Amino acid sequence: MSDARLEERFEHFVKAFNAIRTHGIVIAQADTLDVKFANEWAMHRLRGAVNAITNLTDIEDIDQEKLAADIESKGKYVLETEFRFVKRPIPLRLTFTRLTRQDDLLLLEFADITKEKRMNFALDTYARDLEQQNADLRRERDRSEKLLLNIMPPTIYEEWKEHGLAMPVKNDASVLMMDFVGFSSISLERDPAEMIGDMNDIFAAFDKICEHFGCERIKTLGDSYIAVSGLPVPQPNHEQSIARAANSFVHYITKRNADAEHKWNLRIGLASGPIIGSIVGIQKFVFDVFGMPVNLAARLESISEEDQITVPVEFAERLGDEFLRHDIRTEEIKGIGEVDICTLQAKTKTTP
Amino acid sequence: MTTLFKKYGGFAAVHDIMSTFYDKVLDDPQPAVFFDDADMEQLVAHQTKFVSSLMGGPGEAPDTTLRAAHQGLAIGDADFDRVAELLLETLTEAGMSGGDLDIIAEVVGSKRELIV
Repeated sequence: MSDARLEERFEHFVKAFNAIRTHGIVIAQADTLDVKFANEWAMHRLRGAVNAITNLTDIEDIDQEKLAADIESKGKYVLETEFRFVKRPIPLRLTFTRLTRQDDLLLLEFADITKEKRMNFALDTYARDLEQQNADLRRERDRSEKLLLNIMPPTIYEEWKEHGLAMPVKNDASVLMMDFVGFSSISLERDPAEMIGDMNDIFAAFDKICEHFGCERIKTLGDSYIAVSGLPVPQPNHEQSIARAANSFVHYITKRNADAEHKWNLRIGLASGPIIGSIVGIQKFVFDVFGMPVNLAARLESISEEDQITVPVEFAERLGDEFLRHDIRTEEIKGIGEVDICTLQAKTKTTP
Repeated sequence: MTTLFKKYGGFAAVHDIMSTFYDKVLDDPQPAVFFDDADMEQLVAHQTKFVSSLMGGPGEAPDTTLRAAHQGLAIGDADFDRVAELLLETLTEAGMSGGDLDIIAEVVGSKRELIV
């Protein structure tokens, strides 16, 4: 190739490099770091920091030892730094590589990474926002979960959450009905806030007792408290569990009355048999229980003596010798017919 | 109905437009003085959220925040006009067409009293 052709080609290359408006390109001697060539963009960008780049050491932040070591071991040296251009610092990423081994030349390419850094920052910000939103959502979900667990048992809630509905369950189970004696007159006479406070305390204690004996509080209706054992999860000793819970209710209320200004007295009816448990309602739904034992327990509760537990004899017989049967009698139960019933009393105190 | 946010390429595109927009703002001596001490990364991130929300995308920019952010900066009507002009110019360059541009211009205009 003639010298003239070479010269022409060289000029084309220089023009091409100078036309690059997004990257700085610098070629320097590897040993002395003297600059052999820099395109216009490089000169323009670097002028803010140094008057003219004649040597790579003019660029602040260059670690010469690391440069030499990194080029040797990794083939490149990368440096992120900022150049004050006019007023604002402009972030640049400088990449040094060996251009040719024979000539011992270094190639420095660099680019303005303002946009990249801004994008990274924005992504970080949004990730944080998202995290915050997720935390808010989680908190909200936990709150509604807690509310829902108040109106349905955990197993039903899981089914309902997964499938959007929960199938009714029919188990052999036991039911407890509790009601306060003379509640209507209490509610008329006493300060409402105080009375509700008492009731909250008692119901909270009952909830704990139920939990202890593996029973499930179904609901409170006014001053009534309804709990089951063996539903929705079947339990072989459901009669025993519910009888123990009932006994603890009585024990708790007796103890409470001993040193309380206002006395509360209760009646309890228990019964067992096939019981259906299901979520009922579309908009205002609630888990509820149905079946003959539910009605029977309610009737037995209403004819129970004060602070006593009334059960069918058949129910009591299944409890073994843990409880005593008092006052065995036959009663005509509305809607059910004649039922042998008795009053239940624990031989020994059962406390949770 | 597809949102302007989706139509113009989502988060990355809007962020890129906002980045360009602020380069323009900084190159313009009139509004540039207001940004001397500003954290540009944060500003671009915020503005991306703001414009995203204007375009029907995610993010929000409550009026109270807008007002608080511009309070005490003594921004005049002329400054507001110039920056709004630069924004619309950037959006035009990014390929936003007449009708869509009018929608943005209108929303931006409605925020004037929060900023000036």
